[in-house]
Amino acid sequence: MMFLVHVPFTASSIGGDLGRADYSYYFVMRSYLPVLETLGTVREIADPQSEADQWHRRAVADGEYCVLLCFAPPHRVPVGLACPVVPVIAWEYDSLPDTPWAGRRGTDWLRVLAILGSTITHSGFTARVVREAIRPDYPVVSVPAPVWDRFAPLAERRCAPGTSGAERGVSLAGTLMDSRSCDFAADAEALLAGHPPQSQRLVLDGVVYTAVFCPLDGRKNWEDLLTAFCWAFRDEADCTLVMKLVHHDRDEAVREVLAELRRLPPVAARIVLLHAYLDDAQYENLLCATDFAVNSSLGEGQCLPLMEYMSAGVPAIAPAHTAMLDYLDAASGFPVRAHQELYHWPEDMGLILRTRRFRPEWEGLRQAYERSRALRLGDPQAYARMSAAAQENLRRYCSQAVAHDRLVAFFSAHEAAGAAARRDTPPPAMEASTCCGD
Amino acid sequence: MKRPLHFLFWSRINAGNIRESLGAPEYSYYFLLKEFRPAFERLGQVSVLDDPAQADARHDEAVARGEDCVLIAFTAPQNLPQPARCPVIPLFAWEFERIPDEAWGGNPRNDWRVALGGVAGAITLSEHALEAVRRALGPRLPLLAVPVPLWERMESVRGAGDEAGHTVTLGVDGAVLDTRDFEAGPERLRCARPLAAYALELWDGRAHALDFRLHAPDTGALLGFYRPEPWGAWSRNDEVWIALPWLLHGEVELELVVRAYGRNQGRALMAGLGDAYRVLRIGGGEESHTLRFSLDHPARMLHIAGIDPRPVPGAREERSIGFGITGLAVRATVVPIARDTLRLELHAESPHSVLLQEFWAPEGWGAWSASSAPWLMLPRPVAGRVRVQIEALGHGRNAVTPLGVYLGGARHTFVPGAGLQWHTLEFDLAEPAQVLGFTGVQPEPAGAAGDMRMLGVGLRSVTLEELSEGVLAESDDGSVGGSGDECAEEAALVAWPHTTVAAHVRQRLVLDGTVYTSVLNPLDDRKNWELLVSAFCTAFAGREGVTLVLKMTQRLQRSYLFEMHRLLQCLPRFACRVVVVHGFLDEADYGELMRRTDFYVNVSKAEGLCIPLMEFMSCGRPALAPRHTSMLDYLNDRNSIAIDATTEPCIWPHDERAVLRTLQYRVSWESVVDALRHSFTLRHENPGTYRGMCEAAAGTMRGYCGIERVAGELGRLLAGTSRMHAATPSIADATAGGGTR
Repeated sequence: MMFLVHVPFTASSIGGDLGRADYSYYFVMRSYLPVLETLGTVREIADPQSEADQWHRRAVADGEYCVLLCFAPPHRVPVGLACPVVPVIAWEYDSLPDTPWAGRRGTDWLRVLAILGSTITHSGFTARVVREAIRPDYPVVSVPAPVWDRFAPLAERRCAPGTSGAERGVSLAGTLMDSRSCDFAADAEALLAGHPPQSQRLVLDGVVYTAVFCPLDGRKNWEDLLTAFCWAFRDEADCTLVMKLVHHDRDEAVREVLAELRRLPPVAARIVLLHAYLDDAQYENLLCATDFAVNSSLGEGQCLPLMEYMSAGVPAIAPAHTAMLDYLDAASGFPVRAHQELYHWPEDMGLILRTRRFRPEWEGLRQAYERSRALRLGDPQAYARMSAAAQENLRRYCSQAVAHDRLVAFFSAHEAAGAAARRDTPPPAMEASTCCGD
Repeated sequence: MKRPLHFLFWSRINAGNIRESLGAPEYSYYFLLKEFRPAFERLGQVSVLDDPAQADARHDEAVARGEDCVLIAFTAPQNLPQPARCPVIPLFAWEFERIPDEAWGGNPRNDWRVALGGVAGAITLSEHALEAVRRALGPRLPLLAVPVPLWERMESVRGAGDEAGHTVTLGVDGAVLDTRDFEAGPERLRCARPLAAYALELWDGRAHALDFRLHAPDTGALLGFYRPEPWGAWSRNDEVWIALPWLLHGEVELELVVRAYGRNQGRALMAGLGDAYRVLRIGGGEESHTLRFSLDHPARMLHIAGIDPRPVPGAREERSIGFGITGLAVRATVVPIARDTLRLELHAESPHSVLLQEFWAPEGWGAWSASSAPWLMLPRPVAGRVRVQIEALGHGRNAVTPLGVYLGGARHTFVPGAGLQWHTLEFDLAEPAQVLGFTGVQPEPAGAAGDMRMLGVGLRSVTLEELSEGVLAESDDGSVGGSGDECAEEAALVAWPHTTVAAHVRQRLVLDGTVYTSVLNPLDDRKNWELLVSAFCTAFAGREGVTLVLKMTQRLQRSYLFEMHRLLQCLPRFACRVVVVHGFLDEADYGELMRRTDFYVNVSKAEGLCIPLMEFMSCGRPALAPRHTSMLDYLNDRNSIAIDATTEPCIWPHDERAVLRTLQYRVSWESVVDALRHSFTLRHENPGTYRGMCEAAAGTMRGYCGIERVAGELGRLLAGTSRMHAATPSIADATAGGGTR
């Protein structure tokens, strides 16, 4: 098999775009590569319009299956290539855009996915949304980014004896604002100036909750996880919330969070704001220092931070909707009930309320915080069981082995369907004169 | 021997200053004072203080007469007066689980523990609020939770029976925005009846301006625009309207501050007012354009058409913007000085026939009314004492039944008769008027072969003559006014009040099918009205014959209209009906609305006391509502359908720091949709259960807010407030028995 892979963003543009929603597509493509490489040859191509068909012709001449995987939303996927194209899409809403907007037919995702013929996505939720939109037997498979294998080994490190309540340190180069040493109600500009990016060490103790998010992304609804933490632990000094902000502009990100922090009542618990690029080792240190991962978003295509943390055995507090339905249950963490509300597709400039997103119960988040702390401090064995369950759930969700099996089945079926279509379709008159090979 | 009780009542808003206070935070306290008065009058004498500084003197006088005296202050605790001798008992509303227990802004009395430090007791409107006070102030302060005693005053509505399933017609003095009158969709928003939908004011002929920048209240006048930005608002459709608040007339100049985007720069757009259109060509930046119109009949909708909404290829801007507006100003180009008698001919050939509203197309002899509340605009406002002569006849019953006729805010009745005849009426106008209308018309079939119309009253002509002395008369030399030196500008309309003058159009609202009602102030974010509308239009998207009536208790319609327009364009198509009532219903019509309502709906995040909910339940209307805050005192599974709501953090509403200190409730949109659908099924498939809910609603209210119970509870509180008069424990003796908390 030959896999052409394309993502409209490259490593060179990523540095500046850290935190933009599209960054995820690049990351997912990278995580697929090891699995694809076990199935066939992989070529990253920069311009599908000019390159894909050449490779496809060569492969066909060699009798080889060739497919272009586009890691991008459907309106950025080329339609009309001779090479079969399979889009790999992330989507967290409960319906697909199905109308062209402002004359751009690509925004009718229903049409694009139907024409392309099959789709790969990252959750059972999204696969269901696609099937409901197109038809019940439409070929769509959920293959989340296979991150489990990289993070699962960290579970042993986390379970080393004596970690509960003990000090854990994370070295980093970046900005750190800590409620133990910093008054969040002070002037934001003064705080920014007084906390320049620098090499430093974050020492964590007590029960540590970590949330990784872009504060300018409205879908993350991070205010809920912050305020619920404050209400749950108003009088508990042994809890810490680490908010790792992911956004290219430090000042913009920190200002956004400070605006909410200054509205909070005084609390005994500790709040840490972190804005830093962490290398792999530093990122793992933070993960290993964490007792619970927290998320309060309104919808997730898969949620890479939760997947990474839970793969390493960190139980999660997160809403029971969209992708989390696949891997978070009461055995592996604290799922929080969520309620539907009307919303519009992000690309819909008309802001028409044609879809739903899912708002978690704030009260549920608060209770989850309280119960998780009690569990961590009061029942280490139950915590260990929860940790193991998290790791196992994520293995079933996003290990390379599972990805491999699903992709094999998917591509075999795709190849067979393509061959059948070619048999049933009379060759166009032009084909004889088309150049084969280079 | 029991000493008589003397209550001094005080609230910051009183009968003297209420007109200026509409919508102010303490506005509803004035109504609380009036509602509680009968209950307190069962316990003693009530007198109302204008000035709390009088409390001590009045207290001393009462004590000298051998009475016990207490000041009942209807106000939030931080505003409590602090008399030296007169005991004070505040009566206040509070929605949250925590009372303010911090000082801010340099005012120690913002901390209610301080403000309530010297009171003899406190009355809240709910157990929820009582518990919040108790938690902060401890067990010793006498506290009482008691609702407004409104059960008895709803008797006239209850007694009139219920209108279940019938079609009723209500009269509204103001505006009725009915989604059935709109063509709405992603690229289109057009109102077919703007004179009914948008509150109308008279134009005084002077200069006025509207501001369409972010947060300006005038943005509500925009139809078909994107959300305003700091500079103004962009259009989103190929044609847009601005619903001017005034009925413009005569020679008018509009100055528009505008800009254009993309292909619309240099493009010939059309700007219209009434029937007159002008070309509007806008260049590359922000520009001011002045358009002059000669209106042959009054108009209020500014129409901009011919916009190209297509995005520019390759541009970052992906919205369908085209025409942008920052603001507009209106001026008269010629100030009318003639005060001639208005003579209006209303037959087909006459230009005045365009003034008719809710009439069939005029015929050779005149025009027949089409609805139960037909009206006509006058070409210009009239003022003072006005003699009106109407040449009219009535069809069917209308010939012999008295019809209501109004000129602005003044009313008369007359009997039209079966043949055309003149009727003369004199109206004394407290403020200018520009609308002459009829109420109580009963449309009947025309009766002639091939004529499917429903007819009521027929008009042929109307004359209006202003008789007031204050009207300037023309002198022989053609100059105007008592002195020949007066310039034309001073010959403006007389007796024009400082505030805006409503047109007083009497709209009709026909209700049939299944009716849900909610009464709320749209500016109070806690009322959550947008969630109610979107949930309703989702729950019944495919169902006709179901209506949501939203009665808005807010003076300025423009303050919430933008959101209403946005919902109309952004909600997926719906078959159900939403009617937004902005105006005044008299007692009879409000009672009709109550009797016709199938369910009252509340989706609030918090309630201190929801009086409309209690009124409707007192008339046997079951509720859909969340079970939280004050509503926990009376909602249960027998009298209501529950909507899910769980807590979320919020601010104390009057805390300027806007910091999160307490909790309100996050209402589940999904649960509102489910509850609405469930209620509809119950109403139509389980009439017995529904009837049981109606009875339970009334039964609960009878036990909860009857005046005897409320007065009894008040009495018990007063007995327990032994601080009232240390020297005479007789009150405690006489009414001992029911302990306070």
